[in-house]
Amino acid sequence: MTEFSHRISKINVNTGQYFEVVRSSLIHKLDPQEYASWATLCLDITSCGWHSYEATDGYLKLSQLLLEKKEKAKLFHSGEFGKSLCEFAFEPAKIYFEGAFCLVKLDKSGALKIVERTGNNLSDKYKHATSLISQYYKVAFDIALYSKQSELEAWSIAAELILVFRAELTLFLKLSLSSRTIPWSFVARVAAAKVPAAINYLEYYAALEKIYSQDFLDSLQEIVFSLIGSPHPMDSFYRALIDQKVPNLLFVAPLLTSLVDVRLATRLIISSRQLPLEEVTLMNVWIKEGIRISSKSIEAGLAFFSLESLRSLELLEDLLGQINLGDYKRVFELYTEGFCSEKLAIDSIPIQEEGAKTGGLASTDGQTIFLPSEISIFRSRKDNLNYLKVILIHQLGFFEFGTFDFLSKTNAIIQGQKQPILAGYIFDLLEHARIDWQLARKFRGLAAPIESAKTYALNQRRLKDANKFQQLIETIICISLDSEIPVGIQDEYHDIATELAGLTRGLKRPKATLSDVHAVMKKCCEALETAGIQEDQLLQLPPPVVFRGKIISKELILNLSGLEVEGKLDALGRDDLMSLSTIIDPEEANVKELNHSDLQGVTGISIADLEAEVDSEQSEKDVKGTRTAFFKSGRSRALSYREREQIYRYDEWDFIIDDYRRSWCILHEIREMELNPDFVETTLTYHRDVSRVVRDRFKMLKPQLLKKVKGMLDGEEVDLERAIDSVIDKKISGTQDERVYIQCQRKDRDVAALFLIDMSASTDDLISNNDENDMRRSTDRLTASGKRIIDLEKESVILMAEALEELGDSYSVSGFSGYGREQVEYYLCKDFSEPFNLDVKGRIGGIKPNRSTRMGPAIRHAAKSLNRVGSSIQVLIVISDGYPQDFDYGEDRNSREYGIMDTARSISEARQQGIKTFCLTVDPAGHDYMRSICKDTEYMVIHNMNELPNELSKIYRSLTS
Amino acid sequence: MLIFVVVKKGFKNMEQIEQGKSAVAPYYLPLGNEVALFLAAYEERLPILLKGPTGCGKTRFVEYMAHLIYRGDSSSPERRNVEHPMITVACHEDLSATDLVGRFLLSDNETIWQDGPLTHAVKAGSICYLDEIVEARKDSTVLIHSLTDHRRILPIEKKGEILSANENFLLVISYNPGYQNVLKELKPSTRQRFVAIEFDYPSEQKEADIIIAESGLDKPLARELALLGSRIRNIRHHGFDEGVSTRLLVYTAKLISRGVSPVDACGIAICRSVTDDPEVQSSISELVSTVFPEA
Repeated sequence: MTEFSHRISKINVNTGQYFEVVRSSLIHKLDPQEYASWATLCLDITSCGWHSYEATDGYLKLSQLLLEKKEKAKLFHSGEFGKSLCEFAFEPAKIYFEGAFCLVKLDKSGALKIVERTGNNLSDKYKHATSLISQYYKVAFDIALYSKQSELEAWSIAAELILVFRAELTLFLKLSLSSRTIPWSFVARVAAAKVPAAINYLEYYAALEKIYSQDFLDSLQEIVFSLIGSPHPMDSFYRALIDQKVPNLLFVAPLLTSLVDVRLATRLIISSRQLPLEEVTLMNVWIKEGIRISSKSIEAGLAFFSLESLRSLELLEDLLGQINLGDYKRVFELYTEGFCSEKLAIDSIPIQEEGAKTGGLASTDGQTIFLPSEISIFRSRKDNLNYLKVILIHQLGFFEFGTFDFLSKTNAIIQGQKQPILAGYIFDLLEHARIDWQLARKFRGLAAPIESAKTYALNQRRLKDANKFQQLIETIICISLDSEIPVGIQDEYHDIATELAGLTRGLKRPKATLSDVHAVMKKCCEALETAGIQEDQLLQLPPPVVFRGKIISKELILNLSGLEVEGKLDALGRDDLMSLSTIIDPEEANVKELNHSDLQGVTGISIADLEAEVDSEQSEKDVKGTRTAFFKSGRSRALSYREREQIYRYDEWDFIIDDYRRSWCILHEIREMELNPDFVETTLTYHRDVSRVVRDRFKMLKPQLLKKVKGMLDGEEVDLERAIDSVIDKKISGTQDERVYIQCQRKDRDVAALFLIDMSASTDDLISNNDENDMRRSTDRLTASGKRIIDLEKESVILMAEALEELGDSYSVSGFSGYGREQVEYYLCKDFSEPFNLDVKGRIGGIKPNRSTRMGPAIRHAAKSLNRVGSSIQVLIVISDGYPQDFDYGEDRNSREYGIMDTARSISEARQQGIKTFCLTVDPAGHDYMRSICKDTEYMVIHNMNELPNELSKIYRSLTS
Repeated sequence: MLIFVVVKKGFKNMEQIEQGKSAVAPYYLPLGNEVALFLAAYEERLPILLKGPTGCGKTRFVEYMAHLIYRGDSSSPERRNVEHPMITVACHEDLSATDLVGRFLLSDNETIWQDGPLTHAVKAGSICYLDEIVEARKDSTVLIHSLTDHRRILPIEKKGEILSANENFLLVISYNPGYQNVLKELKPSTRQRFVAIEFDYPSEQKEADIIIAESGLDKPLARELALLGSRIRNIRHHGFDEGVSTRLLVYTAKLISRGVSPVDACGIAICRSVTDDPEVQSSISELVSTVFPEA
């Protein structure tokens, strides 16, 4: 054993032994001086400090390899390099020697140089940071092993750029191992521009890599590079990419580079699922417009790319050729009335159903036709409009060709089948087919649009993986779409499919009637039963033909039990029942003789319900259980609407983006609320004096209704001007105008008024009266203590209501409250057509303070209700106690401006619709913001709360006279 | 062949008098028993009120009846000698009693009495047809009272004369309850002097026959046009209370016969003429494109 071995063994026996082994293999390759240097190096490293023999082991191993490869110079260089690393701790040196060994073994000496170069810099900067240096070498050698030298070089450059920021460097080293495909050249490029951006990129790269293709990641580099100039952090951008998973973004990648602001790009990515990204030309126009808007106002740009602003949506819809039902509602209602001579409302498919698996199917309940709210399946507006028209006309076809004329008969026939559920489903398919054929035959103009819709529907059909039942049903559907038996149908089903096809085609003949459908349905059912089709297979129905919608009347019959019908009748208002009683004598009701049109516009309950009660009570019990399970959505909407709240969407004005946020608020019109009729009676009794004064004032309105009309042949007084003209005429020409009288003509009042009460939580505050006299008076007359703002609001409206009943004006009372844009609550206490009955009194009395004041949507809804009445004078009176506010009424919760501007806009919209508006506020600071909301003459700040009833009546008079 | 003579008289109000001479009976397709009713009423010289919407054929019916009564096979020689069997006055809001009865006109330093159309008809024994009577001033409606009861006289106030009606004279008025407002309601005292025959638009089948007869259009197209007409009438309460008249359908048919595409013909003759409301126009256009394919 040499002295060196001996000395090393003293520090660590194993290392000493290992030295001895290596020495014996190396000694003949080194001259004595070289050997002495090498051995000294080994001894120095070993004696550097605690556990440094571990580094010596590494060096010894490396030494063997280097001499094998005849890299004598490197032997001493790496030894010295390792020794220098070992000065403060052994780990860096140990990792270095191990890494160097691997690189040398793979002949990557160039990479080793790079690692050493940066390592040197790092050691210079952070001499004592041994764990950091260790980490560096771990990462560097790892990257050096699996990457090309150029990538290692890039990584190394990046590391050197980041080197000055220690925390970032630690993170950088940690993240460097998160993926083996990190594009280091790009990272270095980003780091050169902005170090945090490079770290940020690394943080999300691994997650992105799992979702996106390499092509996408390559494209992303340019996008990222263009966005790093933005002062905003890019985390939300990456998170959006990861959450949204939008590989289609690749199509618009070049466009994204021009976005500049990372927030815009983030919003765009979040909206990307609703964008036709593959339509590059279209997206080009849309994104460029967004950039143009953003350059003027970043808030407007953010709303644009979030698909929240009206401009954005309209442009997109325009580009897509999208049409919205709202734009055609009246035209379609008129068209419907023309087509089938029945006044049916057109409405969009309710929200809860629209989101369902089928995307919402058109239907009718006999009073309303529910259609999709928008169509954008074709690229031209004309095609989309034609498609929507076909959806509508198909529903109208049910009326035109008598589908609903014999509902009970149809039901009886269906129930008479062995498998009624199957029969019902087949009936639907066949009836849809007949309607389309009849429509195209009778109305030549419809032939082409129906054909086009059928072609589209046919292209959507898929037979793949269909079972026997689905294949046979698909046959009926394809024949009904003017196609042949679907290709790919299994040979064994071909005969039955041919039979079904023949039967279905039989309905194509001119003047095929509902009875023909009944007959064909029976035969089809028999054929399917022969083929062993069972009802339970209905659970796997093929997708519906969307443009044909669904027939819900039949489901009404099947789904409603007798009890439910009774319940619905109870739920109907007194008026409705009165109307119903004009048609049906309760003693001798023979509902079989009625058809659906008898109840048109009369009540919310369809005659089908009554038929169900009488005709098929037994059968419906049998079927109900199974059928309900299959068609859970089959409930009559007409009925359920009576119970549930109705939902409306309203735009909201955002002054920051100078545009509307479309369908931003969801307003719930609520009819069911706590009743407190005693409040009304108490108020009327307590305030009988005030009530009398208000009534008297209103009585005075009546004489004012006489209007003087000049130029009449007879009348109460002579119009002097005309009389003189007449005399002159006579003298000059011999003829005279005899219309020289003034007549007082009585004009009917055609007024509709809506009182909108703020029900926000702040109205729960007690009234404070500063005026001593008022206080004294109120102590005398009112229960001054304990009266809240809401109580006074209610009292005022009750007194008004009482007086208006006498005057005969049509009026409505509603309250509003809510929390957040998706929960605006609109409590409809009294509709225009309702009498001031116990229910209404109960609802008004039951109004109580509740949450926030989002005025805009409430005013918009009130305006909509007023418009529906169509009176010549429409008045909207808003009674509130403060400025509009809600937790998300504008991004900045502390800013009132957003709410005020939206309310102002909603008032101006109402004004444009010919509605006279007036805002009453009991907020003493009301002047501060009411001026921004409406004109000076259109609001009043009530300082003395007790004057509210008085003021309200004055205002009403001035507005309606 | 009808010959129309327009006579302008007076200098303030101007009425048009149509004097029909007809060699061939005007085309009229009876919709019910209105011909028999009219004849019976005429035999009893009962004044007749025709009610019905614009363009449903009221005037044509009177022309047809005038021809039947004055130029028909069973007409008496006396009636055949009546030069103008039918005198039509289109009433308007400035039409006064003077305009109907007559007035003195100045001519070469003298005043000449000029009979009004009503006086002319009363004297000659024609049918006087006051179209849209409620449009006329109230004094003119009162004027006809004495002509429409057992007296059958026409007082000519300015001449101080009372004119007894010719035996063949008959007063026929038309009244359109559809778009008249409350103020223009016929007074009961006037209304109850007439027997009323109510008109409405013909059934699809009959309207198609009328269209074919009037325009020479092919039967399938005429039927489609009639179908369209009936559908459009369903929305007549939305700004065009009269619906689309048979007359407009005939005009449309004539345009189609001249080679205009049905959609275009309906566009100019129906959509744009019945209403100015763009939404109603759109809905009518949709109905048109439902019935007729786009060219």
